[in-house]
Amino acid sequence: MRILIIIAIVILAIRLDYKRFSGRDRKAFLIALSLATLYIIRAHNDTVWFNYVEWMDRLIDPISSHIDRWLMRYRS
Amino acid sequence: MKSKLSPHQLSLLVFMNILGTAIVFIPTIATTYGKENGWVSVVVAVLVGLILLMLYPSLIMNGKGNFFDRIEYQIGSIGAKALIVLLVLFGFFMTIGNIWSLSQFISVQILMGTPPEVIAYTITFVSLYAIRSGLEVIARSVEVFFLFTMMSLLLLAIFVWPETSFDHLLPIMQLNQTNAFVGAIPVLAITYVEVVILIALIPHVNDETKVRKSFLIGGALAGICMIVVTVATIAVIGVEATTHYTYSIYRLGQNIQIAEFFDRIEGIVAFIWFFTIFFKISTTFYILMISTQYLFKVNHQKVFSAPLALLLIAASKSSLPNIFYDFELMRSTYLTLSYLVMIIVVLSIGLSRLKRSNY
Repeated sequence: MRILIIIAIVILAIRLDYKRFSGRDRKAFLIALSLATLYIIRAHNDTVWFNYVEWMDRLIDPISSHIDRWLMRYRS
Repeated sequence: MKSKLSPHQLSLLVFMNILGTAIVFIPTIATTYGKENGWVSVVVAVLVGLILLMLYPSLIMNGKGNFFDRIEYQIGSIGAKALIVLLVLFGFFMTIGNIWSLSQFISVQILMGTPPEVIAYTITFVSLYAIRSGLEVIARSVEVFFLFTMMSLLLLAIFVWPETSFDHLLPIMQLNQTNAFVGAIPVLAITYVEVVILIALIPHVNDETKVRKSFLIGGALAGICMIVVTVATIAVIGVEATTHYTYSIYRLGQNIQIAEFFDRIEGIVAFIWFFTIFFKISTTFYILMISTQYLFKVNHQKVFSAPLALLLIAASKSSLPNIFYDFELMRSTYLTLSYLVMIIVVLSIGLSRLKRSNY
């Protein structure tokens, strides 16, 4: 059911925007939409290849863990 | 066609963006640190925040061209691209956090049993419609909904008045003094620090000389609302309950009982949050849309709007498992990220502007 809803949204997006754009814009739109569709389908199946928040969490962990530990002292 | 905002509309957008997530989470976060002095944390945060709001407009004001041209002029093409990538990463993080926290709230408190994904889809598509209609449409609708938000806040403050017990606020600044000041740090992170992203809207304002005033008016008004709400929450439900409940302001609404006629009108609180967070999501989404247009050098502004909407839903669904994780995220990753982004933006643009003015 969820997949059907996603497909319906994608078809709607193409119908609304495809004719509006031309050339480079159209290519960019189609590529971005394909990637986003693939990502959302995988997100619904819990098989994403890239977890944005987790990635960001790991990226700034060296700083954030220090700040968190320092703030923890003042939390009740 | 370039979208135009009036200074009045900008101040309302600033107000909505500051209050968006804050109105629900601030009482809990502030009392976690300052306990009965939690409201002091909010007062300190508002004072520091107003200084920050005076600083932000000077980064972009009185330049030529759009936001991206002005940044390129200040720090060069490569520097500008790096800065915009940083703003996009932060804006994306902020938007998925907001979408998911609102979805969780509705799914837990109001539409029990409805999957949060359904609510996330609805919010994102309404925001998508708003941003595709343009910034003017968002700005005009903010004028309408601002009154409604203020009325709801005023009603909440009036209705809880009979329930208040100021003993809950005592002793004032006798205990936990350092904690009360430290508590201002996380409060600032989800209010005044993250609105640095709004500098992207400054070139859209038709009278740029009034931008600083708009930022200050919006910030001060949001600050007053946050202080009132925090004081009311502590005074009505007490320190322990405020720290304990995830949505303590919603619990505050449940306490309302006037003449056995008005009862449990917590929906008012929900209205306040829906409106403020909707404008916050829409504004950030708009900034994401124009930033991706600049980064990928496409002609049409709306090229990435629909793909971005799908990505926002997918990322919010897969990245944030539950509301407890939201809190965890807010006090570590999000806090650090918002301060980092603010410092980098202010230092990189501010220093180069200062350097140019010296030559």
